[in-house]
Amino acid sequence: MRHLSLPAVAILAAVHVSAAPQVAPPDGAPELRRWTEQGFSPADAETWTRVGIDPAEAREWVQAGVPYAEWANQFKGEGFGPADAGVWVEHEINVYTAGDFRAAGFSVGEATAWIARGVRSARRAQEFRDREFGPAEAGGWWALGFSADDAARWRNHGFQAVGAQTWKYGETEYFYMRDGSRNSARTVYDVEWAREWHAAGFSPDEARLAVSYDVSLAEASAWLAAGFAFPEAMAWRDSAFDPAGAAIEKAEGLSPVEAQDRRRAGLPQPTDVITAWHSDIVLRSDATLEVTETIAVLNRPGGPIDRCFTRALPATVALRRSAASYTTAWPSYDVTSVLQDGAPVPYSIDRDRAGDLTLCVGGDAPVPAGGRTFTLQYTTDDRLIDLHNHDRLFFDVVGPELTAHLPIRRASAAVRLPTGANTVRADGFAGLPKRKYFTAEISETVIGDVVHYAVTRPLERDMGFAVAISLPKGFAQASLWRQVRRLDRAEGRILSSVFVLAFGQLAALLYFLWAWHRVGRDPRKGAVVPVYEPPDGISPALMRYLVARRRVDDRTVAATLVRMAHCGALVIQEREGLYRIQRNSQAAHGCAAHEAAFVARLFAGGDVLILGTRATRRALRAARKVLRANLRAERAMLVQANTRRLRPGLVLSCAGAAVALAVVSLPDQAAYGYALFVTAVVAALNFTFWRLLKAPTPAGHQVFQAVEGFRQFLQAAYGAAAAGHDMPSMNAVAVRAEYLPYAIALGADSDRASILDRRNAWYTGNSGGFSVADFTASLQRMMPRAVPS
Amino acid sequence: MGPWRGRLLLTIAAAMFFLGPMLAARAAENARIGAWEDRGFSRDEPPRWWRHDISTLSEALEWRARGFDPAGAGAWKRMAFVPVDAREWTEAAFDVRAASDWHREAFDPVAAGEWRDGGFSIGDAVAWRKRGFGPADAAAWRQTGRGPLEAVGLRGAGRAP
Repeated sequence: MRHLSLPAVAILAAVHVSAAPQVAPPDGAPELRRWTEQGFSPADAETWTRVGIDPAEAREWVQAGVPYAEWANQFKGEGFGPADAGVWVEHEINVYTAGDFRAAGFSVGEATAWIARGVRSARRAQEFRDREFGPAEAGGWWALGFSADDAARWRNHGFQAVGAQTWKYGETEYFYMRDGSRNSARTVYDVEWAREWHAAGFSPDEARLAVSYDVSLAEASAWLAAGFAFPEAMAWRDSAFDPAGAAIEKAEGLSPVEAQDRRRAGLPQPTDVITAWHSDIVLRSDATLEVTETIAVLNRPGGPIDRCFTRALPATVALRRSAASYTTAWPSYDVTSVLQDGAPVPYSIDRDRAGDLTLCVGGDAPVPAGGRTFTLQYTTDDRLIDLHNHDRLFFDVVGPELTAHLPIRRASAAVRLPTGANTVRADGFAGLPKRKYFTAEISETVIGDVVHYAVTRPLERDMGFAVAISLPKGFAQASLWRQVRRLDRAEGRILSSVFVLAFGQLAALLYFLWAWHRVGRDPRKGAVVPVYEPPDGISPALMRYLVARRRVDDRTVAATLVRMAHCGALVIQEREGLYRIQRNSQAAHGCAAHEAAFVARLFAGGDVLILGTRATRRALRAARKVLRANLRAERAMLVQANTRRLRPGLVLSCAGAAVALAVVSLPDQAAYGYALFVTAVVAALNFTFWRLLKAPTPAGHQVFQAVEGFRQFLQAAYGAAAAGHDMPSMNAVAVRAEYLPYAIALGADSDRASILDRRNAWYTGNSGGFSVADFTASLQRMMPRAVPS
Repeated sequence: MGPWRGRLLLTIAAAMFFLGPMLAARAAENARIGAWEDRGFSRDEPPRWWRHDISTLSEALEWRARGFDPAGAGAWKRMAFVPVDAREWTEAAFDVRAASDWHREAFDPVAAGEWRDGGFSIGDAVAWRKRGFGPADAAAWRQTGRGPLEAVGLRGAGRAP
């Protein structure tokens, strides 16, 4: 109720008062005396009276510990009398809570016990009670977040509250949102699963590890039955022993690794092996990693190392936030040095379609057999996970793709943190997925912490080694440039592609602008002076084609027909608005070749055409095609296309587009869309300059100027006629008759002049003269909408 | 138009030039305060939140829901704490300065509280933690007179405090 004016508040108050129960105040001396006898003041008497309680009952409420009328009224509303209510009040239980508990069948003592154990809702208490929980037990479950149903389920499977909680929930992971809120996630385990593992004698941690290691309960139980504790069992299992085999080896006093070595020694054909792998990893303050890998290889004849020693550098890596979740990263690599036995050696780097790099050390020469040491040095980035209160460096020292064909006898790593950065936690993975067969030792040096990792078992097929070090924020931060490059890699190099595309198109644009400046600019128009004759050899149709954006429309056809009639090739007859065009037998004089060709095509089917018939429509369509082709050819003699100048720009822009498309690596759907976009950009640029590079030849420029001047003359001449007065000192009628086709072509207002001209030998009609507008309209109805050619 | 009338119009125009935006800004602010009032803030409260760099209603609600007043919320926010974390630090009895010191070394409130209650300074806690000791272990080893370097060696040799 904000922003209410005073009158509004007054009205609301009045309504409120009028809505209150109308209770008569204890008027009169006897009534008031009854209240005062019970020890109430007149004011109190009024409040008790308002809630409908008489003096005697009010006294009872007060004596029961409920001294206020409204409070007593609330208790009454919940069905309490003064005596009942007093007991609940004595136990400091809220009136409505008391009402709920009583309605649910709890005595005040019971309710107090439930409330004291943290179960403050009668409904909740009832649920627990219905499942045969006492207040103390229920309070324990409820405090740990178990509902009554859930608690009953876990209890019926033999769990106590605290134990159930450790079995039910996995590790909690927190996620911070942009708006400052925080979410969390944790795995919830099923009670049946917990009961089975619990009954088999495993701890919750062991059971969860078994799940993450893909070990079934039966298998885990078999190991336990063979006398192996869970961690020891996993060590033997990871060394590819079953419980029985492991028990035999263990009885001989061998460790899992020793037993595995002995077994391998018995194999007929020993393979190549990496005898020692050490990675020295320096985390720089710009969040890049300088990695030096020293790899001692025993190259045996016939092993997988043949022509070169390969090291895969993946384009996409998973940075593990925990064993269960990860962030995808797109690192870059810059190989700076490759040595074999301390001397530089040729190497090549191949990139596959997914962007993964393969470093091939040794070139084409075979790697000599025997012990070799390779030293690879490269810089990489994008290995930091930005967590809420710390950063986490995650680096795959050895991936399973390497151990798939080359076992590693001994692996180690040293990670050097930036100056001042204290290690928060040295973690990692070594062995099969999610295993941690490593030790980590931190040494503090003057330039910062160094974490030394040593893997405690050989790395066989499917095994890997990764380091994960948490460090406080702010010691390693990627520059803006590196962040942009990271984004580019993450988005399939779209930024690089757009840059290449823009560069290519810009180069093409600059070339086009130069070319346009050289050859594409139209000559200066200069002053246009009226010209009283059409330029030599320019027909009305061509004139319209030149000035009306290469249009071949109804006006073009009308102008050509009238022109041919002028030349004596045709006669136009009109009866009741219907036009009939007849070809004369005599040859046309003074007409252009393309006009003659037009008429020849038009009358190919006979000497007479009647506008409005289907045959005429067909004939017109065919003749117009002929006319357009001829006009295009005529125009080409006046306008230079400069296609020779177009080609270099076209090549530049297409090359830019091709490289842009080759660079990008997008999913199919997005790739099609992007290719479409690139094509559209290239097409738009080249089409624009294809048009712009066209320029009139010197002769053409003169024709354009003359046509413009002639148009001015015609507009003046016909404008005068349309206005009702002739041009001075000129045989205006004769001029207009001669230039009527041009007037039609150039859009001068020639209708009135042509109607008034009675001397047209080429026209007969009964509508009072040749109407250009009517004739053109008749043609327009027969022709589809004209488009520029 | 006479010169005085012209001057009058010019004066009115100049006044409107300032008054217009001012009135518009006041109207916008009133509307904004109204929205805050709808969520239970008193009329004088929003400007106090704004002065402490908490300008959106949703953010103020987050802080208020966790028991912070504008000044307190502003202090925690300046040290880059979000409301939920600030609440956890205050529940662990850290003021904003101590919290930011511990937070800078990547301690969460519970762990920081345990180290502090065990009598460890931040530097000591960092040294013990980086060698994999929790507050209880570290306290036990310290009682035997061992430092973290010595303790880690003994632990590696299988010794207990």
